[in-house]
Amino acid sequence: MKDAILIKGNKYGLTIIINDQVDFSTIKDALFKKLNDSRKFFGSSKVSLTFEGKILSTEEQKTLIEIIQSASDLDIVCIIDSQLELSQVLEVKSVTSPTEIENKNTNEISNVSSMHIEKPIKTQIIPENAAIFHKGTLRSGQEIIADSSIIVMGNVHNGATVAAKGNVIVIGKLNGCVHAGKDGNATAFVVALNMSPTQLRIADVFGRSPDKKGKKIISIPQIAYVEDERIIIENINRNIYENLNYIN
Amino acid sequence: MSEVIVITSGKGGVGKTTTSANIGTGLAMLDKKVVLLDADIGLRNLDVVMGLENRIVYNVIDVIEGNCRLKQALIKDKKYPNLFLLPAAQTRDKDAVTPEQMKKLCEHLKEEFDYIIIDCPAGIEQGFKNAIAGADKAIVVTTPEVSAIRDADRIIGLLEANDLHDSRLIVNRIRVDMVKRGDMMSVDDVIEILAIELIGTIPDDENIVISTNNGDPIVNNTSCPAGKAYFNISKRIIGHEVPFMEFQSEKGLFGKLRSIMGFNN
Repeated sequence: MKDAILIKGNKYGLTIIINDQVDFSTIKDALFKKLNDSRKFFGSSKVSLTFEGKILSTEEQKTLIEIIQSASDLDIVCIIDSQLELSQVLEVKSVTSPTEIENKNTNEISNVSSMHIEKPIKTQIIPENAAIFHKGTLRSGQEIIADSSIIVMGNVHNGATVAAKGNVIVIGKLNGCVHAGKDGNATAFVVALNMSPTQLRIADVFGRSPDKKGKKIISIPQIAYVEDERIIIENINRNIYENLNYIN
Repeated sequence: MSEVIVITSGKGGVGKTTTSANIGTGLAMLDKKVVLLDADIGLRNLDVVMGLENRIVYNVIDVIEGNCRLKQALIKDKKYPNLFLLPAAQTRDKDAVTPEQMKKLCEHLKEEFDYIIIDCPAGIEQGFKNAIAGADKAIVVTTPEVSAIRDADRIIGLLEANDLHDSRLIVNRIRVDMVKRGDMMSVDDVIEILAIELIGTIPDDENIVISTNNGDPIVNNTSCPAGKAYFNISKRIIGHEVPFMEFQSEKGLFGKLRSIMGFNN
């Protein structure tokens, strides 16, 4: 007979594979036994949980979580819906709402759920034609013009032009002329791994490289955007993404 | 297996013709059967640099238009019996030839010769299109100046658009003293900008002017640095591994250390 419960590790934590054929009380017992037996092995690490094999009701999930918490010292950070690809963990089912939980583990679980209830990560459906890719170096005299965003995988040399209705992202050196939001969209931005364009235009705002060039350009990924009718270039940090939009 | 190599630069005056003459002669010195094809119709120079001006009877237009046989138009070099020149016409212009005709001519020459070296005219117009039409490989000549580099970049783009992908770079007229002072771009800077593989560097050498005026390619004189550099490029073309020369007027401490340790970049 197949085991009632199988526990597997994955990149993010543990996957608990439940045998569909077995009734729920057997599952509970098996889970408790397995975890309790190897309490030392699992330790008190932070894990995410995924249930697979059987579709569980909210009540059932809640019960199982309680068992896991009593049988082991694991710190459950979140529960991942097995229907979703692990790599694109987008939304976590709210297994438990804070009010539903009493008893000793309240703290832990409410922590878990509140994290995900307050801040659900929404799936953004990005239109298919949001961006075009160009692979290779753009040399002097070559240009890309597009009614979408443009992503250049390569360098943009002096004398080359990139013009997009949307954003421009250069995975490489940007030395040429670049125009983002060419139809007047001032929320467009330009990102480059090494930002030293001859000319940079976003919508109608225009900037050019300083006449006196520094000897060595430090290559830090930077972003250019418009604020108060002026182009701002700054280093990319994680806060910057909150204000960005893709443009179609 | 024969190869058609076009020597091009975009900008004028960076040394395409000198390079063509010297590489052609260098390959002939290495016992290859070589023909130099001057594609600069209307502004021919290669014959002058080779010192063969007085022997021209027929030219490339005559061959293409069928006024003569190919053999009649080929001029044998003074020194090397396996080196030939197919001169350009001086009285016509670039529109007298089409890329298809050039392609056909190159195919024809390939049957006879190991290497066909095409001297490309400056610019990106008809003459350039003709010159690259039959080419298998391209060598881009540039000097360490922004204008020449910008044009070279454009040329590399156009070559790529015409399916000539692995172009090689010659950086001409390097002046070591100026590079050291930081007044001239170094070879590494140029490569960094153009992002193609180097095949050789030529130091600035007044002997080149002398040899050009005498109609005697400098590669014949391998005792001077420029001649040696051209000969090394010829060797690299036929597949020899030749380390890149270090042009140094005087070695600093670091240079000395490097040569002691046997580094050669």
